[in-house]
Amino acid sequence: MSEPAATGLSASAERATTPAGAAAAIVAFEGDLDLATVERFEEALDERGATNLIVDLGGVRFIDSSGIHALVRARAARTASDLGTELVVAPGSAVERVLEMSGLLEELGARADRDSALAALDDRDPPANGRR
Amino acid sequence: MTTSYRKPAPLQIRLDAVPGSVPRARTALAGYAREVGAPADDVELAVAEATSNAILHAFTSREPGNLDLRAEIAGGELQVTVADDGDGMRPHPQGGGLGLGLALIGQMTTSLTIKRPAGGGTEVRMMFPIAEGSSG
Repeated sequence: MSEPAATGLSASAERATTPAGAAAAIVAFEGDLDLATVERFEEALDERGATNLIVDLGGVRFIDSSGIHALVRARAARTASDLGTELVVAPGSAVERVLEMSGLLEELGARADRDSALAALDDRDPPANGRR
Repeated sequence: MTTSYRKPAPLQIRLDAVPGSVPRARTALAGYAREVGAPADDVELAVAEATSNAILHAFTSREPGNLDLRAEIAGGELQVTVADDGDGMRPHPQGGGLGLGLALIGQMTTSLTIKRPAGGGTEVRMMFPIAEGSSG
């Protein structure tokens, strides 16, 4: 007997440069981010390695606390390495609503588009060791 | 003042308590919510949180068991119950605590009850409003 179609999450990545010339990676997701897909989400971010990161959730239809915890972990890990992590969240989307309900919309660095997110990477406090 | 809505048969689903069951649970319950005029997005998120909590925290010391979900109209509201046959809610070794999920559920429900039934496991009961005049 065939299984019912499951919801899923796909990721695509590309390189980018901030307005100030720093390297960054953009990882864009489409689909649903929950306990069933959070491992795939974290793998897609880890594959980018040690770089400034834009996590584009513009194509994500659903997110729950499993996804939010993963975002918090990813941001904390990069912050510890003096790297930046910014989010792209579509205004008025379900993702924006859930992040707002969680009280983490601002803390997670949610921006309305990629250009704003790339600029926000430049606006970070300079790392203590001088690396960018 | 009366609320008129179609009263469909209760929905009952049994799923394995594994991550792959979360999308099945939330999409099925969201569909039922839509049918009865309850906020489908809220029901979908709350069911995802309740089932994820059970999967992560109720089977920390043994193999995953079952999740039993039930949705029905009760007292003019949508009542959704997520029950597991686990060992109760315990901290997960890999973290990801219960706090945020329960906080989100609390914001979307008109009431939230968590019980330890005599037979074991944990039962989460959530109530959602039904739009006045909803006909399904």
